[in-house]
Amino acid sequence: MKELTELKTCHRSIEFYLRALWNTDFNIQSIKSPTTIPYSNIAENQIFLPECISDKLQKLNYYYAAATHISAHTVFSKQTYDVKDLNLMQRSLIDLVEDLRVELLALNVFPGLRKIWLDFHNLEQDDTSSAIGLMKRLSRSVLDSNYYDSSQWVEKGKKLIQNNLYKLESKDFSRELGLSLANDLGQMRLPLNSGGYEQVIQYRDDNRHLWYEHIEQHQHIEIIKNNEKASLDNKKLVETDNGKKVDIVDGDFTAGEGMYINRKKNAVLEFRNKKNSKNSSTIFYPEWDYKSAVLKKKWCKLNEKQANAGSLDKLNHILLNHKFTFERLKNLARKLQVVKQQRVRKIPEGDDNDYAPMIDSMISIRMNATPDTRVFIRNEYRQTKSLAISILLDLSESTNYVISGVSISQTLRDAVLLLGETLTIADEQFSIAGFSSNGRHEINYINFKSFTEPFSQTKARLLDIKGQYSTRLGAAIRHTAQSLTQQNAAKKLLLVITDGAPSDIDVYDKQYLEHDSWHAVSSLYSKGIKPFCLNLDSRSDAAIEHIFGKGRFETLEQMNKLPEVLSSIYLKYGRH
Amino acid sequence: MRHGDISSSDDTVGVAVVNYKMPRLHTKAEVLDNAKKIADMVVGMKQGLPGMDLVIFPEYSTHGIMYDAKEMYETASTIPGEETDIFAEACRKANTWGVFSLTGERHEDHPNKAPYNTLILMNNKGEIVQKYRKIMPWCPVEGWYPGDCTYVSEGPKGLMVSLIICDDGNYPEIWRDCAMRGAELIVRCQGYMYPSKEQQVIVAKAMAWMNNTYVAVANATGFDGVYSYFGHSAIVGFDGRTLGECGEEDYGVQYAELSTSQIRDARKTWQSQNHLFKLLHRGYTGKINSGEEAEGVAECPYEFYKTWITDPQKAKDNVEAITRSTVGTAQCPIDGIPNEETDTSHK
Repeated sequence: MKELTELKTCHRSIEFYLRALWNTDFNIQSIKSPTTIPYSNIAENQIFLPECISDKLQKLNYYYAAATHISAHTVFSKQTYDVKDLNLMQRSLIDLVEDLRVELLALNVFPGLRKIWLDFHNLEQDDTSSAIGLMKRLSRSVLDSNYYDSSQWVEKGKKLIQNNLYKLESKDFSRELGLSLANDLGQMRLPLNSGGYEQVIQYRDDNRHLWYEHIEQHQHIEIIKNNEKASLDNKKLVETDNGKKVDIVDGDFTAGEGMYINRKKNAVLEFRNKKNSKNSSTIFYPEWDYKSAVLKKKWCKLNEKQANAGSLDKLNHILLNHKFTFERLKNLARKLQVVKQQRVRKIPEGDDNDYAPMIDSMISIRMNATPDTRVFIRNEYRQTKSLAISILLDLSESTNYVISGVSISQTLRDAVLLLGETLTIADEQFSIAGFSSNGRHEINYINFKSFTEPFSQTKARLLDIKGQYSTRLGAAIRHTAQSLTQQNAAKKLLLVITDGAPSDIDVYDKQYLEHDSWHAVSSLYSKGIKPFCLNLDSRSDAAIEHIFGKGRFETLEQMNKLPEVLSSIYLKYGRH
Repeated sequence: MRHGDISSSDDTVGVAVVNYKMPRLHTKAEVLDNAKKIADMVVGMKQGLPGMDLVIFPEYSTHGIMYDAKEMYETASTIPGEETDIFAEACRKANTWGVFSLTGERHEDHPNKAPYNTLILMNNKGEIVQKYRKIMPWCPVEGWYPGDCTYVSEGPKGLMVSLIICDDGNYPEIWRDCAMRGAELIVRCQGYMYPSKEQQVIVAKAMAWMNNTYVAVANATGFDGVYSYFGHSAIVGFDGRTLGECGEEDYGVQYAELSTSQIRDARKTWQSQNHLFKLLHRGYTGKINSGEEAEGVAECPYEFYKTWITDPQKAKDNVEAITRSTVGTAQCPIDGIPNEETDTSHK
């Protein structure tokens, strides 16, 4: 087990030590939060150090190194800087030069401090190709006269500081030199790994005392508005699109490049207000780029929401319009219930004799062997569901096209209503959803019925079927497959109903979305899902065949036949 | 600045440009083999040009042009990475700086986003001093993700160096940007093909003259199965006169010594043709004669630039009014590029 040393065992002695150095009282406080980066409150002579440290750090006199460094800031860091117009690299280099400046000034008075600090300048594990790695090397290079570094940037920085030692107490020393070094480092395109504040040397504090910010609260909103429009009234922390928070807490640089922000105590996290947040969720899906043969991760933003329910009276009226078809389908569905009764053979007790095992048992008896007593048969109603079916509707703009006085979307609505009733009577588990897209950042996935909801309570949502936008099929298939995969069924069918090849307004390569849809469909088989497509437009047969494969699609010849055809597809491909 | 010898001095930077034959590669292994070939060339050239402080290879010299998008994404490099390690070893061994092309460099969001077309300036210790990403990819053919800024870095013997790439050089703004920010040598690496040979030779000289800067151009040669590259790698003085220029031969090399003191002296003391100074001291003679301020006029008189900075959308609308409104053209359509006849409605 790791040995830990607690601050309370030595904090008094550190306070005495600092008083002896600077003839000033310091107040050592412990940091109880998860962070272990020291910080200070210069105005109050307060130094905040980690509550406990590893034995290894204790052997290096970590508390003394940190406390003396921070106390040097208290004595020598009189200058503060506005964060305005500075990027993260520039601030980090100004931080570094300021750290070195106060240490050099302290060393002028107490040369013995050099040993305490140099013990932490271990370069063994440095990543020499990173900005932080070079900053560590510069730090050591300045403090350790016996160290030579091969990097041109490090040597340049060392010379820059050494040539300006006479200006160590100048108020612009750190800013001028820091900006110059940041310019060189920036041109080398070496990024700061985390994109936020990074500790260069372990004992140094985060220099929060060095920075101030004049930006008013409403200007913070300007800075983050590109992420998401959000209500920020009197809020301090804001959730962003990718889940990271914009943390308006002093010294925490997660606000992104260019932001050091003053401490606001008692900050609270505000979650971004989303449209229909109660009924919607956002999920990202990949997309297949056939040209580069790359599955682009998190490429499509799919917004799932629940359809609005309409009037049940209207629904009943629709059923009345299709009453003959509906009656026929109901009869079929009832027959399916009978089919669902299955014969369980070769059981020890049952309703009837199972002749084949009986013959085998008689043979065993004649051979003087022990006969198998499982010679009965029984008709049982299946307890487990054998089929799960997801119906995915293309609800793009083209479904508003009117044929014989009725729009495709209306015909689709009626057909799905009848299919839903049929499936309900047949006691099948099924889901119904539709989709449309307005570029890859807006794929609307409308849930009409989930697997867990009864159709009777959800069918009124079908009245919300309407056509708009485009047809980004791949993402919709991937999303539907997610829920279908989770169903406990021997057979899983994804039934896609579309009126054309996939397309979207931000895609100009006609084959791109076709290939992506093919990729999405191809991945279904490994999930145990069988896809099938009902194509409502024969002009896109070639694309549909490419996506779903030969024999995995049918083309509707007459739109008014859709209700019957749809149900027959269920019987044909779902039940067999 | 001088041409003809193989030496250099404390005041002059020895610069070599290479007519590198455009390679046709498909795999990472082939790219690394080619990088080693370039590295060997660096070491060999140093033997023949002992004064060489900086060697410049053309755009696409490391990867060739991957006409297959799959190969392009698969072979895209990280920087630093295996290719730059090979170059670093060569720069250290030959004790020279180098400019190398990496087409492409993986985007931060690889493979979701297209790679960059990148040039690196590497010092004689094998460190990357500048990493420039092509701002103006040669659309519609090139599919690189566009870069966003130029750099000026302290190069060998203190000469200030900027890197630009191929089609970048057809836009006077980039030359001016680099020169005005202190570049004394603008390196233009290109994989330029016929037909526009004469135009590109003229551009290098014109831009050197108009920006009072040294220009070094390295271009590819040969035929890669698609395009034929015209070479003519050249080194041009800050007075716009060519110091040395290759022909169309594969692996041709030109070499010249660029004086740091001469260009600084010219920029300090030239008057009538000091284009950098005069752009920001416009009409000072007339102003003096008019009893006004002796420094001339510093304000930008060009309406287009004012509009571009303050209202890019308006500038875009203006240019579309005199050109076209779509990136592609229906009269010569290109797959995947929308033109005025492309149906962009929802379907």
